[in-house]
Amino acid sequence: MDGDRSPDAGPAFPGSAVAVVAALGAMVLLATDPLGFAVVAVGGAGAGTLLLGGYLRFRGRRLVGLLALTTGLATVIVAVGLATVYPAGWVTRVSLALGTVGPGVLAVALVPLRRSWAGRLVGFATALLVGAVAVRGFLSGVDRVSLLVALVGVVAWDAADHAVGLGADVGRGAVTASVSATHLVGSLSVGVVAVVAAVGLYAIGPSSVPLVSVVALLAAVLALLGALAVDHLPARDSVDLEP
Amino acid sequence: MEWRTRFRAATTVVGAVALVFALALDGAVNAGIVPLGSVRLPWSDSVVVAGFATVAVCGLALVANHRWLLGSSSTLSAETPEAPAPVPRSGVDFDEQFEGPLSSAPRTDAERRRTRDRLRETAVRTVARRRSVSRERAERLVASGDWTDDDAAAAFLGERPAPRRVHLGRRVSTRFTFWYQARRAARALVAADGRPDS
Amino acid sequence: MTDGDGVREDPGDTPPSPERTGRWLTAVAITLAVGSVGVYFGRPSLLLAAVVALAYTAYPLVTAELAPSLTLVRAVDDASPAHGETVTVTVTVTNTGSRTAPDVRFADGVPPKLAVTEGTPRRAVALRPGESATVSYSVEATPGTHRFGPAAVTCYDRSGAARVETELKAGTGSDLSDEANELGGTDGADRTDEPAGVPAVSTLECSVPVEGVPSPRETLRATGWTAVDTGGSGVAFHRTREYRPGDPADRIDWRRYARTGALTTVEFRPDRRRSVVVCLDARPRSVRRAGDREADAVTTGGAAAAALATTFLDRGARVGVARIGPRFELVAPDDGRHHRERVTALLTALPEESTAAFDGENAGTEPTTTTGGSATPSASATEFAAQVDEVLERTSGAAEVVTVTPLLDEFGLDAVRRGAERGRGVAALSPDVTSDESLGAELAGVERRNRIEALRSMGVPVGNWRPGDAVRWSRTDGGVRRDGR
Repeated sequence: MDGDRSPDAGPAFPGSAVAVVAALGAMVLLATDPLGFAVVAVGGAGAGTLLLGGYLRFRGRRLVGLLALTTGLATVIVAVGLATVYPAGWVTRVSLALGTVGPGVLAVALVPLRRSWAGRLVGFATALLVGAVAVRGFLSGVDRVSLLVALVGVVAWDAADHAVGLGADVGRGAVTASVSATHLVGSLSVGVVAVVAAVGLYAIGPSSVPLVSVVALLAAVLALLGALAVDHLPARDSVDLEP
Repeated sequence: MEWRTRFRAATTVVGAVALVFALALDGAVNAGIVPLGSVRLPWSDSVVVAGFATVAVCGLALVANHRWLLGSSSTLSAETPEAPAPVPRSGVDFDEQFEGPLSSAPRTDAERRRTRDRLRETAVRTVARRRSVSRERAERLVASGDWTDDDAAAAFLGERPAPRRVHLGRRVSTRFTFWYQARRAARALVAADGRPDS
Repeated sequence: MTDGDGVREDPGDTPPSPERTGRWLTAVAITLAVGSVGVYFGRPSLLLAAVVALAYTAYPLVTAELAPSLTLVRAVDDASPAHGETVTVTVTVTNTGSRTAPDVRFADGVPPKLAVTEGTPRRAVALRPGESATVSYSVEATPGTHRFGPAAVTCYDRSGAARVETELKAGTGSDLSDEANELGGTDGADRTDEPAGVPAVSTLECSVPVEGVPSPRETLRATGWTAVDTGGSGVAFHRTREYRPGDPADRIDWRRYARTGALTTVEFRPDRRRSVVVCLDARPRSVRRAGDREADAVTTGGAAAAALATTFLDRGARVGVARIGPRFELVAPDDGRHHRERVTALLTALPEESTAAFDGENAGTEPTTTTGGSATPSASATEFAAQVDEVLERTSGAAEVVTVTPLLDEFGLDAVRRGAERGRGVAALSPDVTSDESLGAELAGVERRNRIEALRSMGVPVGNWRPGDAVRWSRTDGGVRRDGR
């Protein structure tokens, strides 16, 4: 349409890169053996190429960008395929598959495949990552890697969501590295503090815990969650049902 | 909203109490005050797990719903300072009918008459202006079709019979033929005006 | 949905309260999901992971309160550009508060009729106290007065959970940003070098040069009347009457006194100055443009009309204004500084946002409106013709009417004819918004030339004006065209 010179409002590039890197980092932490690392690495290469394709297309190199996009997508699909035929139990395979699909979907969301879907796809990718963490935690319940994975996973979601909003507000052409960096520093510090505290808790907590205590703990957690969540609710008098 | 403050206070108190109780009980078990046998391990109790799962799922659903409903983007993304609100180009009414898809071409007799009248009037004026003749003479020229080499255009605006291909076309589709002739007439008009001297 | 209003950020005002975005509810969801799996399967590691997510839900509570204090300074490299010239705008946002603003996103208020040709007016930046950020972009100038709007600013806190949306008008530069104001090269007319405070740049003035106006003799040619030389100011003898005590001594006709001994006073006719009504065609059908980078006929026509009105005022005439369109307005001929501003403002007001419903001639008829202020929209051709009649009726018989219209339909011809029928002096100024980009545009061009010729053959002086050129009036000499058109 003539005269439509609004900026490209896809997710900002620095934040997107951080998000994909963090998501991959979480998956790397979850992998246990060299083969698993390899699968995650393939998925990571695919996701990275996808992002690169999006960037090239933004810069005007449409042909090369399209090439990178197709290559990246193919690589991600290959990685997911590898994960499904991984020589291990089906639970491990599910975890690995989720771990490759997650960053892949995140990268696709941040390309963006479709600007109106970006937010929703980021949420879906986060759900996949959380699923991968949960399954992995189910497999081996007593290692501390889960803490780090949670940290990195939340950082990934945070960076992705922030990048989507940033791009929508100021467009991809604007320089946003400093804002993304400041935001990242904030989330990382909170996460590090949380991990340290959790490790401390872990050291204290015994392996056999009485039931009533656990119930009380759970109740405490829920109550605290409620208290915190209430703070997040925006002040609105009427609920809009429009996303 | 003050219900927030009350809710927050209440839940914090409940949570704190529960936490203290849990830790105290834990410490008591560890210290041996309360024998381990009198307390049950939680994993085996499906009621606890089911209860927690239910609450968790409900909470998840609420949160997910709220997050979905929020969709809060700032007004910054809605603004478009970069480009002015688009304004139609000159001649858009003619272009919509004759340069777009055939479906938007004039259909009714009244529309077609209007188009033909407009083009005829413009032809008369243009001929009068360019050839420096009187209006009556220009009308005669347009009627006889001597103002242009294009026979389809001349037939469209004048009394000359239409060329064969137009007759054939009319059998196939009157709408297409009208569209075709009107465009030819407009082009002939523009040509009759000649190149505008800058 | 916003808590904050569009309030100007001032250190003295109370800042608008932040709005919650609720993004960290996702952490709540993660906590619940991971925690419940951990409980169900008895995996303490997952429970601890849930604790990490729980900590993130508390993140917004520990971030600093959001109370940004910002100022905006705008500078241009030429505040009086010529048509088609590229103007570079530089906007500087400074954090004048005592706390870091970790996430400031702003978009400058580019004037509504201008398009950004290079760069972007948006930026996101983290500002420490006292720090500034700059953004530069270019716009292409079109004729008219272009006012910058306030910049829209959204500030988030570090966690992204709270935001404040405000507007920043360009304020005076403080000492901190004096360097930002010193752009090399020509300054706009609005800027001086005072260290204490630099006036804000908020307007781009792309003026239309006017190379003359038609004389009363020329405007009356269409009516077939002979023009009486009424132009110019001055006094003319009127009559004598008997002396009344109190009449000034220099008005006494001493010659008669010397002859007859009777005291008489001379009275002079009041000033007969030229009176002109500039009538702008602001109907929705005239809101058309030639190409992508061009402005529409009502905006450029309004700029040309304002320049013409100013020229008339400079030459001592009284000028009135009429705006024909959905919101009809009429200002009677007058002069004076205040009147000059009023006239210019009325002519350069933006064309009304209209929908296609107003374009057709089939829209419902509504009663014509009166002057000033808001009006009920009127939409059909007869209504616009009635507005022209009203203009002719309510301005005196001596006032000449100059119609500014793109001549994309018969309205301009009709309006001029009506004026001539009533014996008024008439002239027409027509901005050219036709092009050769499409068949319809070429056809419109042919029709427009026909109408100009029709007007000229009536004897009406017509200014065939292309935006970017000066306003000139054609010379016709007994029907022989000298301008080739």
